[in-house]
Amino acid sequence: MTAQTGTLRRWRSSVAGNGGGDSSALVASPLSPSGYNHSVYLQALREDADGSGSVGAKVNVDKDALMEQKAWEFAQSTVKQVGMYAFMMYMSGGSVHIFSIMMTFTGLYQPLMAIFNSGKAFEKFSKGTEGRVSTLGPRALYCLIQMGGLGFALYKLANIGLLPTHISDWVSGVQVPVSREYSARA
Amino acid sequence: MRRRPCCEALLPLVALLILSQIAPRAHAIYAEEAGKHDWHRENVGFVREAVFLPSFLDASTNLTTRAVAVLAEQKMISVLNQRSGAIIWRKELGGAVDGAGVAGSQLVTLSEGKTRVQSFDFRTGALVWDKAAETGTRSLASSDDGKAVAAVTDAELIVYGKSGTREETARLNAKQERVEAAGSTFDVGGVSDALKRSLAAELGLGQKAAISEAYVLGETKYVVAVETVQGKCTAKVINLKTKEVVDTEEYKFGGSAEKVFLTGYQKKEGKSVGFRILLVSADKSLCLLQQSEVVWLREEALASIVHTIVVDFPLSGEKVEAASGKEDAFTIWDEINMQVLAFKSSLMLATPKESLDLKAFQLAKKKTEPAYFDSNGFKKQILALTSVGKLFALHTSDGRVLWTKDLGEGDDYVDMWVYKQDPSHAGMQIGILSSNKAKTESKFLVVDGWSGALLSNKSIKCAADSVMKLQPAGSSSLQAALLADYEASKGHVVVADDSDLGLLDLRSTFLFNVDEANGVVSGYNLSPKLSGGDATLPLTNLWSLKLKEGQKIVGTASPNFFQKVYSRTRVLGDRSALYKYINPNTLFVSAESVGDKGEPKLTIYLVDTVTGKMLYSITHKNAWGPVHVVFHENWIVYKYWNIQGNRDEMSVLELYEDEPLKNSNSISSHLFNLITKTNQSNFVSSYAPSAIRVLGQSYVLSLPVKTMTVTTSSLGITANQVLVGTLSDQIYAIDKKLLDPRRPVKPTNADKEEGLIPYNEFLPIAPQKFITYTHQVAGLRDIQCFPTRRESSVLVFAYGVDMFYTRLMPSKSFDMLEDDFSYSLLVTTILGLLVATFVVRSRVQKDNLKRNWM
Repeated sequence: MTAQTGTLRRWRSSVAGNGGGDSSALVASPLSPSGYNHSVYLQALREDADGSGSVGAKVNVDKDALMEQKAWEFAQSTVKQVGMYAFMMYMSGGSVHIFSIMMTFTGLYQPLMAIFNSGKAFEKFSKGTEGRVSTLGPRALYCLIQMGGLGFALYKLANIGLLPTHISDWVSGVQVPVSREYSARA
Repeated sequence: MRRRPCCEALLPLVALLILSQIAPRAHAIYAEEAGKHDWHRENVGFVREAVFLPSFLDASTNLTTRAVAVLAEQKMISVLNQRSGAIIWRKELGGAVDGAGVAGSQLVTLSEGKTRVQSFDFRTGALVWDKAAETGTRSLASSDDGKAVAAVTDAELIVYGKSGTREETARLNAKQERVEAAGSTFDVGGVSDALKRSLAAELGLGQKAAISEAYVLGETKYVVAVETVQGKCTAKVINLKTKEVVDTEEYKFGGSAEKVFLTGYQKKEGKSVGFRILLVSADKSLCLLQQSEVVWLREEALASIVHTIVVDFPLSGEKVEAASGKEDAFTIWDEINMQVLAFKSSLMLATPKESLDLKAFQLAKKKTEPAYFDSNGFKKQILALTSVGKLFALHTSDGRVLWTKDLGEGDDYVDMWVYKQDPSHAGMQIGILSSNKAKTESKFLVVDGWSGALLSNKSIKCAADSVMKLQPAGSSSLQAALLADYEASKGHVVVADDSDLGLLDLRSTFLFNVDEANGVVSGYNLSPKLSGGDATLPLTNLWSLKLKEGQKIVGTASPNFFQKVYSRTRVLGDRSALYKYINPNTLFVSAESVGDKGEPKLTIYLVDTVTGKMLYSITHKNAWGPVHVVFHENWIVYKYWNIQGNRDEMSVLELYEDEPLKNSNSISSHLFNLITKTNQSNFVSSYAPSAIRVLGQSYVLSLPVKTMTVTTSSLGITANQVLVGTLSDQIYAIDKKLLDPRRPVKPTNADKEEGLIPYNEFLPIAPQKFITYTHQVAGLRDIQCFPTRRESSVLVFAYGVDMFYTRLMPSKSFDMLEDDFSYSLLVTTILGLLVATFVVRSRVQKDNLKRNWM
């Protein structure tokens, strides 16, 4: 008992339990401080059966779920952003102009940077949860969506003709051969 | 952060530059650019005959002009100002001129093998009348009073009227010297050779003395005898009647006289007579001598250029200047004056007179352009070897003669090339190969390329009919020649010094010979071992290609072995690539023949010159020579006559490798090849030939072609132009883009992306594309192109009787600013901005101070 009380770190008071509540659990004691609800104490004891000392586990579980949900929502929200940008790229046209080229390169750069920095972006969701909240799923989705944006930018790049997907893009480096034999008219 | 404003300031400038590149610009030059990068030098040719003309009033200058008409071997007839030697007018006749006479204001000529008589108004050059000569005409004779001209036949003297009618006919006795006809006296005999010999003997003149025809003044006849002894030229005027020497003058003049013509004038004060002598030297220079002075001199040897090469100037101008004599440079005030004028004209503030002054100034400045190394490669030295054996060094800025070197006349000059070039550009040796007229002996001369000094002279006991140049060897890129003697199966290596023999690289060296008359092409192998000290090599006949009976070779060409090829492939509109067939050992042979049914045809063969392998052949029906060809990189453009269409046609062939692996459209296999380097050799060999694919197309060219060449740039990036010398002695540039075998009849999108022009059988003729613009290069024989150190620019030198030089930019000036780029505007803008910056800054400071005090 002393050991158990010793490990108790927090006190909780329940105003609701003050009046009625669990009468069977109520141990009337004149020494009890005002507002003391023994049933709450007992429940806390039950909850802390593993002896870890954490009492608000259930509350935490609820918060983790919320965080995870938030992470998923964040991951899904990038669709809008990426889609918007893809639309802008589409509107900028397929001709080789400084504007469309700049748009396309930003379209390439942004998703790449987003993917590289996705760890940081999802840090806020898993921060302080000691690994209980896994952001892997949302992060994967996030990256997938960004990759979709990247894919569109690449497609755009290919449309402009700046992707080395043709033979002509590779032959410029081919050396001009020199003749092994020398012949001249005499 | 500090870079940003700079970038922003540069942006408009960059945009301007880009715009100026994109903006369409006429390919031709503007009127005010004429003569800026080009020059045209007119010659009169080798003078055979001269006729002094009575003085007349020049309509353009309103001055009384004394002129002389000169008749040249090169079918030219010219009228020169006696005072300055400038050409008043010039005409090219249908044939060589045999004689001329003066009748009133007409100059009557006898030409085309004494079969045609023409009369020109000598003041303007207008043709007055033209008729066939009387049969048996020997010469023309002018009357003593210069009023009429008569044709002298064997038995008659026919006096021509003012409109070419037969005015009067007089009988001629065999020994008669003077004939009276139509109220005038005609001198028929002239000064006989016997009389000349006796005169020479009397005066103690040598064999080489030249004696003129008689000059009649009043009743007296004079002749002049000119002799050059040890660089001193003595002219003696002799009264023919009294045989006494009237006048003796000495001239500081080196050349020995070949022909001499005499005229005179009555001096104002008394009865004494002054004489003028027109002299043609052995080196064909034409000069006018008067009172111990050379009034003017024209280097007419330049009308007979046989070989040219273009070399850079030395790093310092001293060497060339020492050989040529320094020109008077402009003073600093002249320079400043010119800069002010240029600034004014760029701001459009100059008056018309000032802009004319500026132009004259710029032209004058070209004449004093220094003769040292130009890092752009625009200013170079043209070495021109003439048929009379005189070597000229010309400055490309204005065509002035820097120095000359007499190599001796009488020989045939076979070839001239850069024999040795110092890698640090400290020395330049030019090899010149000549052969004697009997073709039994050759001479190899080496001269200094910058001063003309003779460095070595070697006699070779071998004919120089078949000359090939060997591969450059050693650090000085020594290029020796080989004289081939096919009968003895021997090749004779020509080097200036026997120690140079060790440097030569004779491995894998082949030579081929084209026997045009018999229709045989044969190839030989050169043994790489020199046998003994006599520098001869055995030749082994490897192959012979005999064309069909009756085929006559009319045109051959092979690419320059040392040409610069920039790209291995040609990229098509669908982004696939064609691999060029780049083997310089390829020979184009065209042969004309008559088919079984009597139809004429022209057959084209492409032959590998190492193995003798026939690569390709094609026949053009109803086609006939003469054929003019250019062969560059992997393409050939040739021109022939279409008998049926009665027109000139031009065909283009482009050679590509036909290897399935290289032409596959799959990117993956291509990348694999590229990475693994399969099929990517740095060498081509005729012994490992690749299959060949030939693309061809034909066009109609509505210009009569005399000669053809192709522009070559230093790296081969710039587009090529085919330069066509026309029968009218002009030069026309055709873009290679127009001569493309892939020009589609109906262009697809890919074709449009490739920039192909839709096919049209007629090549367009745009007057702006005549690079000679208003000039005619009289007697045009050859056009030479040579690269500069700027990739965009090509120098062109054309010669015949005249010389023409210009600078071309076939792909426009992509590597330098336009000539008319307004530097002054740029400088003004920058200065204005600077001033504005300082003004604004001080005002801002003041304002800030004020605000702080408030």
